[in-house]
Amino acid sequence: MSTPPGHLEHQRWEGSAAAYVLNALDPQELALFEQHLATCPTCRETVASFQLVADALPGAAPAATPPPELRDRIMATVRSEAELLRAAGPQADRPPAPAPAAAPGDPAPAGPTTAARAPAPRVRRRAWRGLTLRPATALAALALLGAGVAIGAVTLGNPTVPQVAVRTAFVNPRIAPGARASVRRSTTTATALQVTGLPAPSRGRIWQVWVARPGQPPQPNVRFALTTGTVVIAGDLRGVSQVMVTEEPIAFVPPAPTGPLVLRANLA
Amino acid sequence: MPRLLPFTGSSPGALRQLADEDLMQLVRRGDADAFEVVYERHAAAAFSLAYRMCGQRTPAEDVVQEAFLSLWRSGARYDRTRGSVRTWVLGIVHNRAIDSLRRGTVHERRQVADDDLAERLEAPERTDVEVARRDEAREIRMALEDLPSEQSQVIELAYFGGFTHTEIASLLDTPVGTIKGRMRLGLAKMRGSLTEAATVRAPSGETL
Repeated sequence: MSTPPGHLEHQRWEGSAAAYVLNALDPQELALFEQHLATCPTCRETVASFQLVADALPGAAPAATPPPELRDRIMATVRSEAELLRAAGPQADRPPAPAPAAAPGDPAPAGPTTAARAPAPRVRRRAWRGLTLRPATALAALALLGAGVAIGAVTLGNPTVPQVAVRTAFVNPRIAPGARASVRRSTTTATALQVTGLPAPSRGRIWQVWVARPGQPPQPNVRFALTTGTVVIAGDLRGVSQVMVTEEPIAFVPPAPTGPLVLRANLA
Repeated sequence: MPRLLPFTGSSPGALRQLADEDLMQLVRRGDADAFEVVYERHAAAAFSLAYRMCGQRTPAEDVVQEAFLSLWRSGARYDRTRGSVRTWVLGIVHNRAIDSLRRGTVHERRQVADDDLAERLEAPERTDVEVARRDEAREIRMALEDLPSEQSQVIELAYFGGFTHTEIASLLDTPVGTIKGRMRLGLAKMRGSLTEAATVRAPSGETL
């Protein structure tokens, strides 16, 4: 076998291909290795061939039977979310939007060899990128259907006279039965989300506020764990048509909603 | 009164006839019944992997729940050219289990990795597909067991233990380069064994 330029460099990375498919690279090295992968077809081939082994490794785990309650728990959540989707009608029945182009810096290597590379380890790093998280985005679309009931909604045009608009939020009865929430918007004070009787988020989760403008994906805003009280929504809310809350991991902020919808309010 | 199905009008029985990839088409449109069939097919493998990694039922259940709900909510991300639904599901489970493990200390995780895991229940063999999977599982176990112990050890610590190679190097008091070398040699040898097994199995065509 001939020795191409950069052979030593390549050898170094080839040594990392096995650790890569085993998900055993340290975060920093992972980023560097993925950069290298994008430029090195040989390493992509190595990764693809090792990936076949890694994909088979779950089979080496001794068989264990999941409890039936686990299925019940999962299906209860799935069915409640499916109902919300169905309530969105044509919105939910629309075929999914095409996957967005890879974000800049997304180290997805191109080329035919990557087709052989199963997506497993990438799921963690890429799942959050897409705005095509189908049920979640359809849930977001629900808010456009205008379930919020306006109480004393007034025009917010004149800055000299304090004006206040309060919107009652729709609260998902399956997640927060009996809870109430409203968004208070004023020309003189910050926009605030008022909640009463929310349950505590699940372990490792937090309530995440999202704000959305028409035709744009929701942007993450503040996060909170209180069950009754006032949450100040951050930033310039001009043009924001809806505020919603989902349950998300404490550890990081996903760029698009992934957890179940807790509440939403229409502001437009 | 028959239950209304969201978008398909298909009966659960009809759904069970569908391939995973077709079910995923329905799942991404919000079809809970299609999702339930996907769950039925892969829950045991997912739970087995999660339980092997976490060593306890509760965190394993949490991992499986997180993984399947993520599958439900991000079904549109599934791309059939990048592998089977099963591989995709197990990839999510593996990642979630690693996240869960890495929230603990290395010491706690070592305890789990060393524990003799109890409560192994073999699921009943029901279909030809499951029999074939059982064969494949046997092959991968044998391929792993056939490795020199120093190689199988690092692969198990990495894949099932969720340790990074530098953590393994420190656990075993061995240079990082050596650990990576063992991983590479071990996977290359397993690749050879599995290819051989597949070649032996394919001509007969009787396991499927």
